[in-house]
Amino acid sequence: MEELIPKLKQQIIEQLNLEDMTPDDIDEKAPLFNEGLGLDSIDALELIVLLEREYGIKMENPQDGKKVFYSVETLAQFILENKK
Amino acid sequence: MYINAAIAISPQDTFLKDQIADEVIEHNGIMKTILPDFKEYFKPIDLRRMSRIIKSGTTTALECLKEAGIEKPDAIITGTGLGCLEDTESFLNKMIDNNEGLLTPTAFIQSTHNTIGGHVALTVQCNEYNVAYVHKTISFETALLDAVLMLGEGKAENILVGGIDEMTQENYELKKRVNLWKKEPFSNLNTYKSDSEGCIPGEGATFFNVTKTRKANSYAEIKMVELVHKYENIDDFKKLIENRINNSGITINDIDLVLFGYNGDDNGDAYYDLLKDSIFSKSGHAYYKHLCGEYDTAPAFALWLAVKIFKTGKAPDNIFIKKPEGEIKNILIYNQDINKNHAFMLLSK
Repeated sequence: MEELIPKLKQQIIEQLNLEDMTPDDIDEKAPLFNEGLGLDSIDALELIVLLEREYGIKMENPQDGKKVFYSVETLAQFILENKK
Repeated sequence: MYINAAIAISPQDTFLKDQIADEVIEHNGIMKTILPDFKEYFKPIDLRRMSRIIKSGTTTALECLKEAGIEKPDAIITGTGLGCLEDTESFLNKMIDNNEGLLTPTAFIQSTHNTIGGHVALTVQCNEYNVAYVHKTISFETALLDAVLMLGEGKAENILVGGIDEMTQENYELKKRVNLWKKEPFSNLNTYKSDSEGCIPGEGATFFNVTKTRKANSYAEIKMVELVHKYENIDDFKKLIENRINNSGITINDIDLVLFGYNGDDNGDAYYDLLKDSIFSKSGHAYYKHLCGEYDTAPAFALWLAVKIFKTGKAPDNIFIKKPEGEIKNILIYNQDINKNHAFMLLSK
């Protein structure tokens, strides 16, 4: 988990083109959407592609999205539990 | 139709400026635009999805509305030859890299030809007529012609019209293979003196606000927009253009300055010479592609230049082939693509 979180933050910065941001600027416990980073629905699609491409994980149940994508920490937890 | 505002981002320092500096900025290879600080215009969260052309196009459009004192236009009409090329390339490259799977939405969403028209409309909350013309080298003139017709029919009071194109490294390399560009190094300062094939690639974003009636802040009147796909007989073509100009309310002898689209390619430049040395021999002669390079909507930059000549009453010395005597009151802009897409825009002060 400790190694995954900074790596995931860097991947999110690159995937979402978050210019001028560093991993340290992202609070892993803060919400990714609306508040916190202020991401939107297009970003959610980008994150789904990131999960599949980098970790081989497919989001089978869209209902899980809200919980999985709540923060960097919940996303990292989901990756650790589902990584193939 | 009257022009009330004109804003350009170009390979020269033109953004929010009223004239080209006496010293032309030299480029070798691609003539890239000189960009303002976009952070002054957009939030970082919005900027991250915007490519160079989207930022340039939207910013020039917003500044154009500001200059015209208009919050929301009645129509947004854009012209572009290749649209948002960087995003198109990004999307297509990802398709190849990912074997047509795992495609991300952002580049695809931003890759359409109407992305900038859409961005501007969303920014100013304009739900009115919004069209992008993609007609190669007459894309901008076609957009302008649409504005002329709309205003003429009374379907709009004021319209935002723009021409936008970008040059990417990938597009540059592809067209280099078919010898479309000058062999490097080639300076834009030598455009008119060139006696070889190929031109210099450029790019730009230019927007205008136009109205049917003259306003206190109107700089120029568009008297004529004329498009001729190609001609077989030069004498018939000369007669046609002469007739069209004479029908616009002024005569061909009233044209003080013709702004030609000389781009340094021998194959195409010869067609400008045919009119320069005949029906336009009495007018002053100038050119502009040493300032902006060659791209499909370069005539929009020429229109910006002409409008600024009227606004300031001055023209930069570096554009003249033959300087006119006296005040410049009527300017004709002529662009063509090796005897295809001949486009004329006639302006009066």
